Amino acid sequence: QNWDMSNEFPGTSLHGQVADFFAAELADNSEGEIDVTVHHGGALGYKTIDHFDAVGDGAIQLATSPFSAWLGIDPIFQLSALPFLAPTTADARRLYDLAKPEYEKVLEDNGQVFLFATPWPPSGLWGNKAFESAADLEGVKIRTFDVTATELLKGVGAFPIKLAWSDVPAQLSTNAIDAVLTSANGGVGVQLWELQSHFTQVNYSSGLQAVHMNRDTWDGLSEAQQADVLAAAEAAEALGWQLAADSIAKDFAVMRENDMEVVESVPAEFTAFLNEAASPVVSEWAEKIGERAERILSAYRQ
Amino acid sequence: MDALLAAFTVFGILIVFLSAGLWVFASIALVSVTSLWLIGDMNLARIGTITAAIVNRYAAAWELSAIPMFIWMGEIVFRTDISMRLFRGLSPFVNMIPGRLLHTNVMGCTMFAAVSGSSTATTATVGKITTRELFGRGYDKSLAIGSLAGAGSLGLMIPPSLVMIVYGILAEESVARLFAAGVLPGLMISGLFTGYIVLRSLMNPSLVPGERQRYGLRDFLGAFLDLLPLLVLMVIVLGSIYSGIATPSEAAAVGVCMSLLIVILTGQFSVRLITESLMGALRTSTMICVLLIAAAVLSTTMGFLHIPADVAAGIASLNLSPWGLLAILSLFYLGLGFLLDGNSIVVMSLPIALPLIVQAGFDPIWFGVYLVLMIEMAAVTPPIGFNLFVLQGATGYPISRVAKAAFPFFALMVVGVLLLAVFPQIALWFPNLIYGP
Amino acid sequence: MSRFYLAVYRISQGSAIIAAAALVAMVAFIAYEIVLRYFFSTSTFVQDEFLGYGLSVCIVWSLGYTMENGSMIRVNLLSTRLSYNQQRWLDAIGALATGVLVLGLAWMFWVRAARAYERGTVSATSAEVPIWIPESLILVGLLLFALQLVAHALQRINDHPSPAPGMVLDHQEQ
Ligand code: NA
Ligand code: NA
Repeated sequence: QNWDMSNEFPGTSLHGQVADFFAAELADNSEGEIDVTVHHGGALGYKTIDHFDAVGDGAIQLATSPFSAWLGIDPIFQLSALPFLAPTTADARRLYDLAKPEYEKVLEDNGQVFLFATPWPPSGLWGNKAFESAADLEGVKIRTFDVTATELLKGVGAFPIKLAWSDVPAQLSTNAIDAVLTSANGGVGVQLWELQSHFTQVNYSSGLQAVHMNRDTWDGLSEAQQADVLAAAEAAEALGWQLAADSIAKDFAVMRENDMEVVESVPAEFTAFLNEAASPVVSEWAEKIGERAERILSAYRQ
Repeated sequence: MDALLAAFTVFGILIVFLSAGLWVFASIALVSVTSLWLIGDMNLARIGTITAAIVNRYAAAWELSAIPMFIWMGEIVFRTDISMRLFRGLSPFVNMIPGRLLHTNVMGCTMFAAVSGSSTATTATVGKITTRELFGRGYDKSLAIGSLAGAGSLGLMIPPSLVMIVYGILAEESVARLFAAGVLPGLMISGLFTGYIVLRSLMNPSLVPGERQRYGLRDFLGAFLDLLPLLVLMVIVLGSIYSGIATPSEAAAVGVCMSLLIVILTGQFSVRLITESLMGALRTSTMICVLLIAAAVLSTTMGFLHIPADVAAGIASLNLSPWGLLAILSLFYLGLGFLLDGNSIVVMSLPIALPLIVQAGFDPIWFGVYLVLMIEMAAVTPPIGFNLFVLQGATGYPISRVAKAAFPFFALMVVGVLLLAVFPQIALWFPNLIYGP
Repeated sequence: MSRFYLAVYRISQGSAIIAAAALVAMVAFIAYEIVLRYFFSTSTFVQDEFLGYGLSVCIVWSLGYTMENGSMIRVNLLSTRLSYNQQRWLDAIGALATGVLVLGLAWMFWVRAARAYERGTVSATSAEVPIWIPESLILVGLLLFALQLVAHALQRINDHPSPAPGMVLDHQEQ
């Protein structure tokens, strides 16, 4: 069988590597019976937000998609991007394991199979100074990536600005924005050190990226083939979590090589301040979702 | 199916539809549907799902929104005395240069390229302003059309550039460096075009109408005043980008607002101007955008048929020497350029071409510039060449005539590619100067 | 039939006026965003999204008008060698084939919009726009285009002049 898999991000990105690994494992496991072509960099013309229905309708058999694009389809996908809820990769993993049945259900209801998810490295603040207190955020123009981050930053006195990722370097170089909320990995990918001097690891959140598959394609597989897919998924998932954890130290080293100041942890007072600012955002989200959210959150907080 | 055979089949079907006189956008859409059905072995439901998703993605792509706005700005300039003043104002300055006003195309495109990130917007806007004036004054039509087709593609080489942003993101290279690397090659291409026009005009004076006259200091002063409105417009649009007030894609809206302001200040504002410029802008930009959407569907089709990736993988398996690799890749891109538009070419081939190029010891920033030049060439080669389409729409001439007029400029770009390959410093010197090696 | 042709063309003109309004709105929206960002250090947070909707109306709703005015380009390799009547029929068949394509696409957009409505899908921004609205706008624009394509085909079959003032037939252009 020949399958097509869509990925909006470059093949060299963390999730691009995971997708390639999954394809190779699957070819190995199935002894060449299943051949997956991964189309990186949006080469099939799909953006992540299109993947949900493209896979559900069987236009493509597989895709790798960050949950952040699917908030409008079901707000449960916001869970992993909630601010300061799961600061470390280990926390993110625990939250993921608790929420996995919900993710599986939403995808199942829409004609697809959830195979596995891997994290983005935790996001922090790139800027021309360290951010270590509430006062440091006052009046700073920060590029954000979603509604929650925008609301949160407004609440703490910063000026959030939403821009396309491709406009970020130009807007930084003209001082139209002062700082960028993204992971160390995201900034290293576009050599943000040419434009910024500091990175503060505030551990905002670690969003998830899922690999999902068309249900008809899945149902058409023999039991042995299904087992091959699941085995490849399991191996790729393990690799993805490992890569994300490893990438943090690696990216910090690259940043320091390029004369950046990396602040690996912030004062407890500032963490408490950020958590306090985030808590209404989290409860507002939980209210919107209802019982499903309460169940996951109370289990997570125990 | 073998990738090359599939590629030729797609090409063949396209030629059939185009020859039958079907609209170009419909031909591209139909060839996509037919290829997915015949070669991709897909059913109609799946083809429909794929097509609708891509159409929705590109019809509502904010990245394309600058195109109708830049074209509207061109329509406003075209319908007021700003464009006539441009020519009157340039006359004394270009009077001594063989070819005289023919240089307005190359100069205009080079300047406008610094404002716009796409080659179609550059060609359409400058073309709207210059073709009527040049034809009316009796300049050689082929040279006018050809220089416009060639110079319009500078929109991608001279920053800002949409294709370079795409390349930078996919190759994980600094977009700022890429932009800097495009400046000198852009000016080099512009210089080659200018030199060619000078040469042709010297060899055949009948290409240029005999209106040479003597100009005094007073004339130059008056000429400067004539150029002022357009200079102000350019300074403000460029200034808005480089001061960070507007992003490159927002600069088009700044341009529209400023041109309206100039029109009001010079007392030329009328309801009729607004309605006519709007409807004119709509006709041109709809024609261009619907082509871009159809081209996106074709590029998705090629992706599903695995054509670019398979061919690139085939090249990889040849284990060529660096120069052999570069030569083959150039032919490959030239071939893709017949059928695809710039962004698609970059996106579909890069994952395989870039590692090969880096392994062979070429600089990825340099390769980005090289690739943009290849894409500029694709824009002037039939059957799918966007600058040709834009000029066909603007002049009403058949595409064969437009393509023929553009050919010498295509050849000059080949010279540009060779120069770039032999002297990579043309691209790398400037970014290294600004950002360090 | 003249009345039908004219009525269809008026509809195309009307929808093109809406498309033009969308273009004006896009410019105004960006100007507003720039002012917000520069003077008030804030943003609408939905610029990309609304520019996208604006662009889709701007393009799709002016398709019929653009086509009927002869601004959609063709390559004309073979057709210029044909007789006037042969050209007429080839043109009509081309318009009908395009019409079928556009109707098929409209059907897919109906499916998409209906699903988005049922599922309650909204955009992932602070605007939370129900996705069925922009997709229906494209659907309506495609239907209007299909109508103009059918009228265009009938005009060519009946050798009736186009009601569009700017319309230049291909054979007159050469
Ligand atoms: Na440019
Ligand atoms: Na071409």
